[in-house]
Amino acid sequence: MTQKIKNYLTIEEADRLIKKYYDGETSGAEEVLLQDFLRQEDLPARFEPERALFGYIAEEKSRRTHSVIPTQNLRLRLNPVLKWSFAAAILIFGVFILGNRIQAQNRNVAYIDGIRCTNSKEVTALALASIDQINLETDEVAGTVDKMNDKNLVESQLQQFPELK
Amino acid sequence: MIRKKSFLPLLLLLLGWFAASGVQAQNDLFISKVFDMYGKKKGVVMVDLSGEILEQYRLTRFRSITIKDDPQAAAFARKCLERDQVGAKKIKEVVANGIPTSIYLQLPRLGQDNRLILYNESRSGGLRITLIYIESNDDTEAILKLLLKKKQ
Repeated sequence: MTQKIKNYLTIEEADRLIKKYYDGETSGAEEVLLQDFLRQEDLPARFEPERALFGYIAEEKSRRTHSVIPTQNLRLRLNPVLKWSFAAAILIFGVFILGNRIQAQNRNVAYIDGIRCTNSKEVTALALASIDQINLETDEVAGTVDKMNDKNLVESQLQQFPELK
Repeated sequence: MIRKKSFLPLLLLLLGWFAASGVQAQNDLFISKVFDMYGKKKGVVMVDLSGEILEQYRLTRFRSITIKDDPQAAAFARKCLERDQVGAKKIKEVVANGIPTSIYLQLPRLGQDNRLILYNESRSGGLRITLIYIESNDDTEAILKLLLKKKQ
């Protein structure tokens, strides 16, 4: 499409558009036409300043476009310190999570009056002592658990009321 | 480009999952606040065990806290237990003068873990509360039998 239009732009038309351009009255489409016209070889030397001007504008535009497209990666690409800091942060976070998980899998700690104790014998003794403090009455608890696990509990209780059958 | 783009969210997702799976089952309970708030105070003994040390008892987690002479802590623990009772099976409850002095709760299973809360409040020789939280792959009966065996 552009090729077609470019072919139709004569030197007179180009002169008219250049004049219009310097007056600041050209449209975007007209500027594109001019750009295409000035890209042609074997143009009269008087078009040299416009060719340079439009060449510069086109180059700037392309540079700007290139610097805009990869915006998401620009910061990382331009700033290796930021990139490595980010990688280090992820690594530290990963190590922290892993450490926490390992620690969580193997806890062996007691606090006595706020003082930390990791002696496994002492910690185990304290754990057993806390069980001692719980009032586990063997029969009562065992009976309740049995009842909880008895799937026929309702049926067996209803047997006490034969008139319901 | 696509590989680069998909790498970061994937990594974050993986780390997030890793972090979330490390979150303790007990954290969804109100009683965890009792451990957090009073665990490192004076007059308190708190125990936290998990992993290899509990393998012989067939438990996966054991937490206990004993608080002496702190009526406020006792009231707070009772309130937390009240909240945690929702959806739990009550194995035992002893009430003395309107105050629950002994509560055993079987909590709904969380994954493979069977969870129990044992609470006792004693006033002989000063106020003393004991709160125990247990996780195990075993059923409640087996856990209680084990605890009874340990007591005897």
